[in-house]
Amino acid sequence: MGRYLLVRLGWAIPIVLAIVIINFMIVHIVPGDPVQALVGDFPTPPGYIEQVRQEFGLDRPLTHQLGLYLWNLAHGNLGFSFANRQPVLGLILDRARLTLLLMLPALTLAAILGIFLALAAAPRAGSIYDSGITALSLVGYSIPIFWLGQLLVILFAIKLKWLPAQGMITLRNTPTGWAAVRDVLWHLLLPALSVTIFYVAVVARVARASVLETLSQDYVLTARAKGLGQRAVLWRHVLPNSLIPVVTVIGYNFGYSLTGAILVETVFAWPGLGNLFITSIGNRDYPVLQGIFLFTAMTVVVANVVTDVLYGVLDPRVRVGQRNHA
Amino acid sequence: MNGPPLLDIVDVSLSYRTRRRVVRALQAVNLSIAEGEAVGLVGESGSGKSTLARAVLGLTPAHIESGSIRVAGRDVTHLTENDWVGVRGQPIAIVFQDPLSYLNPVMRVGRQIAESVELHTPGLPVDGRVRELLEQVKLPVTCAASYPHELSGGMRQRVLLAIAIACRPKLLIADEPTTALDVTTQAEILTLLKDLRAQLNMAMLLISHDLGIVASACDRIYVMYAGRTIEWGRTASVFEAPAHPYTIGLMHAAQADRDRDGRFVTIAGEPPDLTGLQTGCPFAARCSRALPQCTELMPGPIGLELEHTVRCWLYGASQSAAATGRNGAPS
Amino acid sequence: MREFWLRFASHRYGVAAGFYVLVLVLVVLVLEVVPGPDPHDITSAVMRPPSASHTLGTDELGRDVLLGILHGIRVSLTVGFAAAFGATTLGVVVGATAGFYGGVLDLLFMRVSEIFQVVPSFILAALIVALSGPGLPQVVAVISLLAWPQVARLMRGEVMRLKHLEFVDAVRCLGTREFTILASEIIPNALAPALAAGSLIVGQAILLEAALSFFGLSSAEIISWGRMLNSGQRFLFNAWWLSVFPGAAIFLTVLAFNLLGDALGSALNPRTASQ
Repeated sequence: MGRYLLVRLGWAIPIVLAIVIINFMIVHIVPGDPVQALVGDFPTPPGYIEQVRQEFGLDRPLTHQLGLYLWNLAHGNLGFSFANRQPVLGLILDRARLTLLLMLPALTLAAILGIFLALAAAPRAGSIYDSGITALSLVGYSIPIFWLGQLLVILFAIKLKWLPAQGMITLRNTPTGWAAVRDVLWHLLLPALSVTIFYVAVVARVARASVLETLSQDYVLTARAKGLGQRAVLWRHVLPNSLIPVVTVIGYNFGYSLTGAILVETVFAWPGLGNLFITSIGNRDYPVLQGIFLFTAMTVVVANVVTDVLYGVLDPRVRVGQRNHA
Repeated sequence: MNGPPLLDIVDVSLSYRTRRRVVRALQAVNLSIAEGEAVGLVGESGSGKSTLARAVLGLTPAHIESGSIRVAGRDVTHLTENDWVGVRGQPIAIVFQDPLSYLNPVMRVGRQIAESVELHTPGLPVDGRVRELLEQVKLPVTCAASYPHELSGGMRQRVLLAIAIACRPKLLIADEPTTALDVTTQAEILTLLKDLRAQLNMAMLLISHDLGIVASACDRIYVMYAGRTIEWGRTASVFEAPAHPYTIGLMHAAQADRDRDGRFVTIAGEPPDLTGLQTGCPFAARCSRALPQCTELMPGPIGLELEHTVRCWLYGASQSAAATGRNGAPS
Repeated sequence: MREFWLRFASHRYGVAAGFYVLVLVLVVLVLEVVPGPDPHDITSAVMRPPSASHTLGTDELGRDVLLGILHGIRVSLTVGFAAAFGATTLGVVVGATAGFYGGVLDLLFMRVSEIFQVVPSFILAALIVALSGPGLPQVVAVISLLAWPQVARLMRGEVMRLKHLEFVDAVRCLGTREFTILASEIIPNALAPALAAGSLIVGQAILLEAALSFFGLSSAEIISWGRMLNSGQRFLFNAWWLSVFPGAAIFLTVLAFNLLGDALGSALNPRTASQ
């Protein structure tokens, strides 16, 4: 297991490096003055631009700049956001927490729901119930998540007035203590629901295929031949085996769900990374945009490694040999 | 041997139905096994022997269209899935070939054996019983913590056996238990099967396409072709004097006999297509001694000497094909 | 060929989706020839809900929503087809080369495609467009760049499978050069899954373009469904029709391409014909 982990980490490093370099190169490849990209369009105090030019060595050869960039990166210096009056790294981390707060419950719910739906549908393959899941899946893949969010807002917040439409907390008479927690949860509901619906589609599709495949495996026959009841066969033999591709799919699609959460935040004015992203676009706060790119890419790499580990835990066969990347 | 046979298959016909066609996997099959007996079932791939084995435990998706199957006197022909739980494992357990795919890859082997123990002997201390079973199948006790892919083919087969005998079955069905193994391991497993039979007083249905295996292990054998039982009787009788041309062909092939020109004696032609209606004997097209009525009507069972029966027109003139006489079970 | 059409025709939803796409293309063509009322027309009928005179309502400048949606088809289809074409072409070439020649090329390809897998596409696309300014060419280029690895991976897989088959050896015995083998024997046989993937990419491209427009990263003069959702966002509380209808257009169109891609995929592959 340890060896497996080491190999996976080994593969992750060149990817991280590549991402960092891409991030660096974007500013120089794209038309326009790199200084603009590094500073943004926000009005800055005089002399700052010169300072930035110096700091980033923009009049020096590219390799020198790359070195400076990596040096800065290693020290956690991702630049400064004038629009938000904060260093970029701190800003991103603050907001990232809130995006994660949105994502994790949604993902968990989507995973559980997806698996249950698949388990319930599999024995009834070919029925209406089963086609329903395929349909739901298709819808999930085709629907723009921000539109889904808008629909939910219109229905539940505006027409039915059951839930708040925007923000993370109620601005008037902001509650404190436990009431504050409930308030946040109340605001969390709709955006999280959007992400969940979106993601159940991905999960259910894989889970269904996986369960169907597992059901046709020979060891299920052995289990039945022992005299195990249907329920026990499903829970003890089918579920653990069919879970494996599901977990890996969720893990390897973490970037997809992260993007989904970010897109949905704008609709609900949820103060996470997505919100930061769109306001920074409006402010032309390029260091923040770059920082977000770097952060999200890194998160996905970490998620991939974690998923690899999880895969090894769930499937003992994987720990022995190299897993195929094809 | 008094009382009803342990397993009594009477005139069973079974078909698989897909959207496009019907495959008649079994036609008017008769087979019975008494307590403690070792019976062999021989035939090539596609002859229906595996289907028969699975049908006995309700493990096929196919329909039993006619006939009946009785287990220890109880009619199991049309049981629901829930009811089958009372038949599977105990009194009938089954062991399959190719143990790698028949064991749950993510569950430790000991746990898989323990499942059987918990199901059929609740109240017994599980760990102790698992250890006992492992010893009975001659596996080191440390195996219990391993995963299937960490064991060799022979060891996995023994695990499957342990799972089966944990149920304390009266009848063990072994479906090609040695086909996926090398020759040395084959012999070991066969010896193990013999020992277990003696220790546990189990009846056994040994299914194989290998005549040699069946010859040494079984008291009686049945020969199947294209979903029908075409010859059956005491092993010695059938081997010394095979009656059906197909059986004769099998014997020659198994012994690698050569003819006058030095060529191997083989059975010409190919196994028949099992879809569509069949009249007459399915072997007729390949039979060098076919008679005109062979393609018209399937012959009924014709008794040769005591405990040796065959379904072939060569041995009986104008016997009614519809006769569903019982096969010769030892009395 | 005929078999393919027969198999395809058995997928009712795929066929329906195909018709839908044809209708969209038709609308675009018709509008090119017969412009009709100008969707940019500012009228005094501001913020009207759906009615007899304005079937899907009007926006804050009095512009008709239905007209906007019809004209928006052009952008979606253009971006969709162009990006899918670019991604598929690039993907087929790279994937076939990597799969056929193997070795270092293949290793390099796998690592590069892993990088693209990891990078969140929307964020990278948004970053690039934000830096270089909005415009359809950039958007198409970025989407193609992000989508080609999927096609390449499929292509690589197919080519690797095919190159070991006997007919390749047979042709090789005739003395044909390796490259010719790749171009004339293997690629045509491996195209099938790549084409099916291409249809799915059209859907992804449309979604990505819509997301970019929704975030304000598109040109204000071009009418696009995503952009309409962007304005709709501001008026969620009073004008639900500004969000519901354009979004529905996106949804239905992407759904159609997905259904089409699935139907094409299983029609091209006789092995999975029975679902």
